Amino acid sequence: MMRRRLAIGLLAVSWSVSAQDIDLSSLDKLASRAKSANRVSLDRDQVVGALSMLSGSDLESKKNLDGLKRLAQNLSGVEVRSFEFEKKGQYSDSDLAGIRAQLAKLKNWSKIIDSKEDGERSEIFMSSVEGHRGLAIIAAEETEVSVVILKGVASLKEMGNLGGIMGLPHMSLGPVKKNE
Amino acid sequence: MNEGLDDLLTKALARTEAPADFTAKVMVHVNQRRLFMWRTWTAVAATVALIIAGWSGFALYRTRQNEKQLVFAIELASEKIALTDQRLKRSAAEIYMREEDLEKR
Repeated sequence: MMRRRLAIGLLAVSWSVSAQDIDLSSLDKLASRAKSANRVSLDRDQVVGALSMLSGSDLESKKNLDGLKRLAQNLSGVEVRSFEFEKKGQYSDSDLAGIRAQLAKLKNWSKIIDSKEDGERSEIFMSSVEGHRGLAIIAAEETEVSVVILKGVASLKEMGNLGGIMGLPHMSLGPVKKNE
Repeated sequence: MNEGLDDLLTKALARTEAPADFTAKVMVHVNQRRLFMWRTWTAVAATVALIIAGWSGFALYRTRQNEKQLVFAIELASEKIALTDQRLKRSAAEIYMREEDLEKR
C-alpha cells in the first residue's frame, strides 16, 4: 500500500514536471513599454469550453471549423505573450533569454528551427514525445515580440493544416515525401 | 384557606368565551404571516435566480473571451510559423522538415 502511494506520489510529481509549465511572467514587464500587449493563458478546461463556443458562423466553412477544432482538441494549454512597440529598441534580446533558457532545459523538447533575417528571429521548439507534446514559438521582430506555447500540439503539420483558415496563408509545413 | 384556593382555581380554569372578533383577528394574523412568508420566499427565489443568471452570464462572457483568446493564439502561432516558413524558403531553395528527422533530434 505504501509503495503504491509512493508510486502515485512520484507519478504526480513527474506529471507536474512533465506538464512543463513555462513561466512567461518575465515578459510581463514589457507591457508597460508596448503599444499593444496581448496575454493569453488557457488551461485544458478553458480550451474545452472555448471549443464548445466555436461556431461555423465565425469561420468560412464547416471544413475550416473542423480543422481548427481538430487542432484545438489536442490542446492541453495555451500561453501567449505578444507585444507590439511604437519604435525599434524598446525591447532587447536579453528579455527573451529567460524563456530560451527554460525551453532549453526542458526534457524532450528541442529547438527545431532558428531563423534569423534582417534583425528578425524566429525560433520554434517542439516536443513530440507522448505526454510532453507541445510547440513553442519565439518570434522577435523589430517592433514586435511574440511567444506562443501550445501544449499538446504534436507536429508542425497540424499547424500547417490550418492554412487558408481565418485568413491564414496556406503553409506547406511538416513532413514531406522524399520524392516530392 | 383551601376554599380560597379552590375559588381561585375555579375562576382561573373556568371556560370563558372568546371575544367576538377573535376569529377575524386570528385570520388577519394568519394571512399576514402567509403574505410575509410568500414575500420572503419570492425575494429568496428572485435573488437566487439573479445570482444564477449573473453567474451564467459571466461564465458565458468568460467562455467567449477564452474562445477569442484561443483563436488569437492559434492565429498568431500559425502566422509566425508561416512567416518562418517563408523566410526559410527564401534562404534555401528546398527545405524539408521530416517527421522522422524531428523525432531523431
